[in-house]
Amino acid sequence: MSEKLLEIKDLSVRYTTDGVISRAVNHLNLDLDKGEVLGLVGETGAGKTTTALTILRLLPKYTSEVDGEVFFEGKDILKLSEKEVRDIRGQKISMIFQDPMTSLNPVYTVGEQIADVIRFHNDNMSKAAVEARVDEMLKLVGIPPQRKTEFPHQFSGGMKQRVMIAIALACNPELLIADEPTTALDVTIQAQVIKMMRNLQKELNTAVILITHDLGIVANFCDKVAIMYGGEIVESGTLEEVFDKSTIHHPYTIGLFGSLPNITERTSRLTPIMGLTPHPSELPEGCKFHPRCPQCMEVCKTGDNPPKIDNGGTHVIQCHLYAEKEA
Amino acid sequence: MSKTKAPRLKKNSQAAEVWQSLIHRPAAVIAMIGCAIILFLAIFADVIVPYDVAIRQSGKIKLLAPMTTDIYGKLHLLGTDNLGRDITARVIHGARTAMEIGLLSSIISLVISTILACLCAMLGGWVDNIIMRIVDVISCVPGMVVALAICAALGNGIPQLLVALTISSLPMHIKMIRSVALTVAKKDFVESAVALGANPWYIMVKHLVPNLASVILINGTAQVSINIMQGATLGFIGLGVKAPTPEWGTMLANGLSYTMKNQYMVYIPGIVLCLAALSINTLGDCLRDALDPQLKGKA
Amino acid sequence: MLRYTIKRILLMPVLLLIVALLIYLLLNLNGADPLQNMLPQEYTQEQYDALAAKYGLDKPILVQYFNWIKGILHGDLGISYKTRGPVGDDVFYRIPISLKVALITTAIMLLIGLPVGVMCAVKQYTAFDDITNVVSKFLGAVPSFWLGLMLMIWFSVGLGWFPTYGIKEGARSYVLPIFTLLLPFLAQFIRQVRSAMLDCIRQDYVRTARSKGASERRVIFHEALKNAMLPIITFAGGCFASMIGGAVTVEKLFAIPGIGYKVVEAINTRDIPTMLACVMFLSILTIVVQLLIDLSYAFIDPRVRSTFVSVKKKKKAPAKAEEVKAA
Repeated sequence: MSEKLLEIKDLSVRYTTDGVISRAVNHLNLDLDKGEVLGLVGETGAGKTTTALTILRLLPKYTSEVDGEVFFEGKDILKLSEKEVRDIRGQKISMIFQDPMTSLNPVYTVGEQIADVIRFHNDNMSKAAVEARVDEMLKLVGIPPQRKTEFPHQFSGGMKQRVMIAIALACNPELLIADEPTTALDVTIQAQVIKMMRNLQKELNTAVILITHDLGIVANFCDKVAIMYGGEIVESGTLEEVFDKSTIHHPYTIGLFGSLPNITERTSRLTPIMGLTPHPSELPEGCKFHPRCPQCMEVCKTGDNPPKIDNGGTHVIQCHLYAEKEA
Repeated sequence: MSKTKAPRLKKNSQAAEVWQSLIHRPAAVIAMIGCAIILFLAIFADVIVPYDVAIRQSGKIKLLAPMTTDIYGKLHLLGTDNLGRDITARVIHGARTAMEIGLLSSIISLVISTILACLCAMLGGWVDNIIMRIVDVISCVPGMVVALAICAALGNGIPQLLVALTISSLPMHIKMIRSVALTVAKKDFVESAVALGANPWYIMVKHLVPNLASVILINGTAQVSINIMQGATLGFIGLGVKAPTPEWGTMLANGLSYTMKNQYMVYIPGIVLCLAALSINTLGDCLRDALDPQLKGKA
Repeated sequence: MLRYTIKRILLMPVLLLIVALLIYLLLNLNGADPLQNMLPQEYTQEQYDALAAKYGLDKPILVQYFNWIKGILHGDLGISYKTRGPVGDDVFYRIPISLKVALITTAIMLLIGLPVGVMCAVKQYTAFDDITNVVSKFLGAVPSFWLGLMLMIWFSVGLGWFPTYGIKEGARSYVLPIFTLLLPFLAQFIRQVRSAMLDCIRQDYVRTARSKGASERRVIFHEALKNAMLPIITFAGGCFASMIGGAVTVEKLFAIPGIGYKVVEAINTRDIPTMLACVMFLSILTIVVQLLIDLSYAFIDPRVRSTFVSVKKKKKAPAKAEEVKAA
C-alpha cells in the first residue's frame, strides 16, 4: 500500500478549564488514503471536533494539551513550525465548520473572504487571476459570481455553507475536514449541500473527513466509517462492514442503529441508548461505554481499554464482548 | 487517573454555584472582605464610635497628626482635622454616608430602570417610544452635569443627592436592560407564555426579571462604586451632603487648604475612597466572571 | 443614510430646547434668587426691580424661556448674572480650551489604550495581561480629583516640574491636568478594548480565518479588530464627551478656565444664562458625538448599513439598528 495521506497515531487531547481536566480525545488512531471519504460518527462530546481541530492545530493554545502524532504526507503536523502549519492550512487541508451563520466574518464581502485564502497561498497571483478564481469557485458551488460583493448577512444559511465550501476548496486541498457541515441547515438544504459536496469530492478527488452524527449522510457519502465514543474510536471499518447487520458490532454501534427508525421493520418504538453521554471530564474507568452498555460485564468496569478485535478486513471493534468469544 | 469525584448534578442553585466560584478566587475573597468591612463600618458606625465624635468641633485639638494623643489624653488614630474633629470617626461614619449614597441610589435606579425597561420591552409601541424619548433627552446632557444641576436645584443633603445620582444614572441602565430585555422577550419561553394567555405582569416577574438578574447585578455593583465616586466628587465641589455630615469627598475638599503641612488630611480620605472603589469594582468583575462564563477567558 | 443623518440633525434643536426648558425649570425650582448675589448688602425695592427688569427676571419663567430662545435666534446668548458681560464671549473663550484638553487626552488614550488592550487580549494568560489588568484595576478605582491632587503635591509642589494651577505656562501647564484626566479613562479603555478583542478572537470566523492559513497578525488586525471596533468606538466616543462635561473636578483643581469649571461656577451663582450656554454646548457635543458613533457603525458593519438602506422602505429602521447593536 502506498503512503497514507493522513495517519493519526495514539492521539490524546486534554483541556483544562478552571482546574477541571477534560479528556476529549484518548489514544486515537486513524488513517486515510488519498481521495478517500471517512465518516467520523458519534454523539456530541465524543471528541470528533477536537480531533478535527487537532489535525489543523487550531486548538486553543493555553488550555489544551496534545500527545501523539499526526502524520500528513509523511510529516508530523504537531511538530511543524507555526509558519509551516499555516502553509498547510487552507492549501493542503481545509475545514468546513458546523455553523455557517457565524463562520464567515460579517464585515467583509463574501468575495473578499474567498479571495483571502487564494492570496494567502499564491503570493504572485495577479489580482485579476484571484478574482477569476473567486468567480470560478462561486460557480462551482452554485452561486452566481455577481453576488461576491454581498455580505454574509445577505445570504441564507445554505448559501453561506456553500461559500464556506468554496473557501475550503479554493486551493484544491488534499484533505477536506467537514465538521457537521449540514447540522445547522434545513433538511432539504442538507440534501443539496451533501449532494454538491459528494459531486465536488468525486470531481476533485479530495480526501474528506466527514464529521456527523447522521448515519444517513454517512451511508450516502463515505467509504470508511469510524464510530467515536468518549474520545475513542470504538469501531471502524469500511462502510459495508460497519453497516452490515449480519456481522458483530460494538454495542454502541448497535445502539446508534437502534435509535434510527427502520422502514422495513414495523416496530412500535425506537430503541434508544440508555443514559447520557458522559462529560469528557468525568469519563468512567474501563470501557468508557460500560455504564450505558446493555451487555456490560465485570471486566468492562475496570482496567484499561478493552482489546481491539479484528473482525476480518479492516473492521476493528474495541470491546470485551468479542474478546471473550474469541478466546 | 482515578475519578472519585461525584458526577456533576445540577442540584445546587445558581446562587450557590456563583458563591462556589467566588470563594475559589483569591481576588474575589479579598474584595468580598473589603466590601464586608465597609458594610460593617456602615452598619455598626454608631456602635464603634458615637456620631457625636465625628462632628464635635474643638479648637484645642485641631490639626493633630495621626497617632497623636490630645490634651485630654485621647489617642487620635488618624489625627484630627482643621476643626478638631476626629478623622477616624469621620472615616467610619463616612463609610455609612458612602454606602447610603452608593447602595441606595444604585438600588433605586436599578429598580426603576428595570421596571421601565421591562415595560418598554413587553409593551413596545407608544410606551416604549415615550420612555425612550425621555431617555434620549436626559442622555444628551453629560451625567455629571445632570447630577450637578439637580443638586444645585434641590440643595445639599443625602436625599437630594440620591435623586441626583438616580436620575443621572437612569438612562444608561434603561438602555442596557432594555436591550437585554428585548432579546429575552423574543425567546420562545416568553412567547409561549404570551400564547398561553399569561398577563404581562406575570410574564415580567416570572420570565423577564429572572433572566435579567445577571445584567442587573453586574451593572448594579459597578454603579455602587461609580455613585460613591460621583457622590464624593459632588462633595468635593461643594454640592453633595450637608456640612457637618462626614463624607469622604467633603473631607478631601476640607483638606485642600492644608495640603502643605497636613497632608494626611487629603491622603486618608483619598486612600479610603480608592480602597472602597477597588473592593467593589473587583467584586463586580468577579461576579461578572462567575455569572457569565462566556466572558471569562476561554480563548 | 443621508436622510437618517439629516433627520438626526433636524431633531437636535428640538432636544436642545427641551433640555433648556428643563434646566430653566430646575434652576428655578428652589426659588433661590440670582439677584440676591448681584445687589449690594442693603438695597431698595426700586434697585431690585430695576435690576430684575434689566435681566428680564420680572417676567414669568416661561416668558423668560421664550425670550431666551428669541435671543438665541438673534445670536445672543444673554448677559451673565455674574460677570455682567455677554455670556457668548466668556463661553466661546472657554470652549477651545476644553476641546483642546479633551482632544489631546482622547488621542493619547487611543494611542496607548488600543495597542495595550489588543496586546492584553492576544497575550491572555500571560504576565503582561495580568499586570496590565491589576494596574488598570487600581487606576480605575482612583477618583480623578484625588489623583490630580496627588500629582499636584508630588510633581508641582514637591518637584516643581509643573505649575500648580492656571494655563499661563503654555504646554507645561496642561501636562498634569491631561494626565489626571487621562489615567482613569485609559484604565477603563484598556479593559474595554481587551474584552472587545477577546470577544472577537473567540468568534467562529476567526477560527475560519486561521483554518484558511491566515497569519496571526492578519487574524488579529484584519479579522478581529475590525469587528471589535464597534464597542471600542462607542466607548471612546463616550469618553470624549464625558471628558468635556466631566472634567469639572480636574478643571476646578488645576484652575483651567474650561467649560466644566464654568458649569460649576454658574450653578453655584445661579447664573442661568451662562449655565444654559454651557449645557447647550455640552449637549450639542454629546449629540454630535453620538451621531458620529452611529454613523461609524454603519461605516464598519454592513448589517447596520443595510438597515439604513431600508429606511426608505420601512420607517422603523432606527429601532432595528439598535437591535443589531444590542446583539
